[in-house]
Amino acid sequence: MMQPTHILVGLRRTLEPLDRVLLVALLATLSLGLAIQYSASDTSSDVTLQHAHRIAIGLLAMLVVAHIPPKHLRRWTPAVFGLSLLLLGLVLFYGTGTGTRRWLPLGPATLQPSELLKITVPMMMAHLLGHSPMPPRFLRMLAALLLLGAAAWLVALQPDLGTATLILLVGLSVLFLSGIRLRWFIGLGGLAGISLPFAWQHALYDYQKDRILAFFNPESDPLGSGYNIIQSQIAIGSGGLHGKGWTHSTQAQFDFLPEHSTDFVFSVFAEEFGLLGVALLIALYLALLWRMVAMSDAGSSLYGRLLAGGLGLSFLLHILVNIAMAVGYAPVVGLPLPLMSFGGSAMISTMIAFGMIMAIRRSALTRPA
Amino acid sequence: MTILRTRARTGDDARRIKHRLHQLAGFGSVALLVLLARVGWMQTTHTEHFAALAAGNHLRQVPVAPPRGLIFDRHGSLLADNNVQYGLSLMPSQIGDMQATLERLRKLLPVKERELRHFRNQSRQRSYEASMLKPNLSEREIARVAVHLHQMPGVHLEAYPSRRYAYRQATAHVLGYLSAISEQDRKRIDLRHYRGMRRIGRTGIEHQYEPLLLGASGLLQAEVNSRGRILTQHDRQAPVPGANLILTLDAELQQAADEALAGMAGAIVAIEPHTGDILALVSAPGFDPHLFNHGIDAETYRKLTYNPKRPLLNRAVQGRYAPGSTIKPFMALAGLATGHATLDKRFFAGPHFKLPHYSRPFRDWKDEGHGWVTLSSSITQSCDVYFYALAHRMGINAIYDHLQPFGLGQLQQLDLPGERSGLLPSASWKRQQYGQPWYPGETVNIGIGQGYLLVTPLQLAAATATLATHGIRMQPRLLRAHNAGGVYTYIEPVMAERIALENPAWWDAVAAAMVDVVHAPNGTARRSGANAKYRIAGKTGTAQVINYGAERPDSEDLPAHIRDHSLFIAFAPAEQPRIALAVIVEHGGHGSTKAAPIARRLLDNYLLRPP
Repeated sequence: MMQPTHILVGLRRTLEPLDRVLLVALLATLSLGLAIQYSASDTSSDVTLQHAHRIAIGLLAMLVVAHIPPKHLRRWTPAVFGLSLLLLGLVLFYGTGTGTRRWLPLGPATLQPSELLKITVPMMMAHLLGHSPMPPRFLRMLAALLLLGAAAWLVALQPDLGTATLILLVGLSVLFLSGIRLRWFIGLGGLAGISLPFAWQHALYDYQKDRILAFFNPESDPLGSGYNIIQSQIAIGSGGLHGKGWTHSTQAQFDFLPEHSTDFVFSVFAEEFGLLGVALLIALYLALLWRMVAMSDAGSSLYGRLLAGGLGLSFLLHILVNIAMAVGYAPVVGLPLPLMSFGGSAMISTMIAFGMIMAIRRSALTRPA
Repeated sequence: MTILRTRARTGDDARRIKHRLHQLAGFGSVALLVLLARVGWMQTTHTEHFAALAAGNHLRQVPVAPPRGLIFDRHGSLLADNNVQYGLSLMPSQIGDMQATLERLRKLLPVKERELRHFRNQSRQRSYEASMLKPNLSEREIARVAVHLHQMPGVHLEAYPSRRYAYRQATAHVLGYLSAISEQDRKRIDLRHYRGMRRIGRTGIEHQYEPLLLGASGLLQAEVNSRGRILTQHDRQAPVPGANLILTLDAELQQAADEALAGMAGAIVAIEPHTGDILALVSAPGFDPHLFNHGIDAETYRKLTYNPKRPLLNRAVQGRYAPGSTIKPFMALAGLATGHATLDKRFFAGPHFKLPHYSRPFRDWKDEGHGWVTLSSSITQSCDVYFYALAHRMGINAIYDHLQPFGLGQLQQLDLPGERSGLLPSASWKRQQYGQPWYPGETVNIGIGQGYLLVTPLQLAAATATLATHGIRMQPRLLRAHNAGGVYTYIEPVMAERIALENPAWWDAVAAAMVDVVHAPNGTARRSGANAKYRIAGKTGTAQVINYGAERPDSEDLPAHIRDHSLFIAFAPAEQPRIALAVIVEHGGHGSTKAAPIARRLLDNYLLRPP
């Protein structure tokens, strides 16, 4: 007799940690992503279903994670971070991929450990730095920098320079949030500037150099390294104000734009939905960003605030780098556009990040006054 | 206190995190808006630029080659048309192990060593595109290869348009052939007219009437993907087929002439006298024009060019021969016109002619001489001494003035490339050429068609046609009409020269003497006139290849390559001529032995054909 009510109560409790504003903006963005995947795959229902499947898994993961109290997260942080480093080490030996080793075969699925790192690095940084009083002491900072450097280095070995740089930037931004004095950053920046020529000489693969050079002058090799950049800009520019209409991207359908489901999905979106669509998408991203910022502000612990802030900034960095790359403002690096690109690991890690932020917010709401 | 202070510190820390987070997020948001502005700039003020690039990416204007004009003979028999052939082509960049692939293919198909070499050369030069290993596959070969194609990536059956010549080598010289557009062609032609085309008319009619045969390319708008594969296509502009040509040739006669010269070197030109229509134009030995259809390989081409018999040479318009005694009817008319000869005057012809102050006698072919002769019997029996004397009396300049209107040694303006002029000498020519005066002895030789005098078979035939029309020399021509898109254009015959004689009866007199050559018991070509159902006016000629001076050995005893050329000119029926021809058989010996029988066969073919 009371059962329907029980179910309702259970459902409410299950869904209770979900932040409604975030959820609505998320679902809206995910819908755009699903629509563009249908189009970018040349209306393949298989691909679209697979993407939908991943969205569903991501939402589920988000829901599960949202229930985990942040103090548990903090307790598990070293172990989770260690595990992700271990997987990263394994991928160097057992990984698969074309020319690089990025994926770890995991039964029927494959896992991209570097995507996992995008969550565990902010966690680890927040874990090390989220202690009062702030700013953290030098040794702590050094430890954080060393761990961050190790993680980024392992990713760079795959080689995946884009993700390594991003992880580095996310870690540094958490460091910045923790109140590190600006002179440290200036010092780090100077160090990076000095080491750049050495890195160019010794650390970069030729294809990576090509990509960076092509970014500065795509016309120099329009069919080689510069091809992606040129084709992406053609896709975006030809979209116009209203776009060519859903499923009417010629750049993707005739295969001129490479990676049009993953790295360059923004270009397809801009081609089909035009400036109006792009404005809507960016508005959604800004809404998500500032909602995350607000949720970080409400965090009950320094760890929670740093973690939420770091995850939010990671989200922002992905969007900035990906779109900058698509419009020709940044070199071609293999970074996905959050919530839009095709790719399971990135989708799930992004959704887990949202789940964590929701959990952090929830801990603030449910904390006894 | 401690707790409170800690709380306060924690609050400070939280505030700092918030502050810095807002800084970064604010900065990032501005950056995101900058990117939006960039997209806006690309999608508003510059969208047309990018839209054009996008369209250029996937829309291709693919040129469509028009069907080349067909070539027919005067009766509508097809001489040249287009078909599609298949060849086996390989894309080196898609083939991993070229050696293994080639070995495998050679088990399926007989690939000759020279085809293999040709392929290797081509694929070395252009490794990024497909090269043909073996053109012109038979249906059986196509079937055998097709079954295995899916196991051999990079190996394709390639269809290519090809020209088919129904009479093969019989029309090889006159029709010419097509070959690949070369670097030199590119400088000469307007490439816009050749969009989508790879070949160009190289020689013969194919070259002469290239602009008519060509047609105009069409355009196909195609959507292609980044690998250049055509996904959809629609016509934008249909190709305009080339004009069909109706030639003056008579295919049957042309083939008969080619067969008549089988195994020999020589030329035959047959003309319809009152129109100048070329009925047959054959040069032997010939070649298979289809060899050039898909890029002839270097070895075969070398064999053709270095063949001592020079099969690529079109002897009919490019071969220059001493006319020998075939010049005599023309000399006779020149003599009559200048008053140096009369019809009734008798002349004693001894065994030789002697010039004052010349130690060397000019010998007659007949050792004992012809005795008493007239102008007519000199033609009939081909008396040399008579014509030595006549030439001497006339002098070189008068000879030049009276032979020139017949077109001898003159370009005929035939609509065929590569025609050569030959040589009708004069005193001023010699002065110009050698800086020497003309010697009287040189005039004497001209009287029997030797010496400096050189004519092409075409000139000889056209001059003979002029005898048949009593002096109306028609411009020889190969194109009778053309038909472009249903518009039929007939080309009017053009008169090149009208030779007026003081006494028109002289035409008949010379013609009668020529009839006697073939039909009289003492005519030099009497064997070729036997049992003729119509009357032939002809003249034999035997042209010396080597000057022996006084001693003239019998040609039949000489080795083939220095044996005399055998010539014969004729028109028939003598009373109402429908055909005039010249036959030259190189090293064929006396005119009556090789050339005259061939002429008879061809005249029979043309005149006795059931309607």
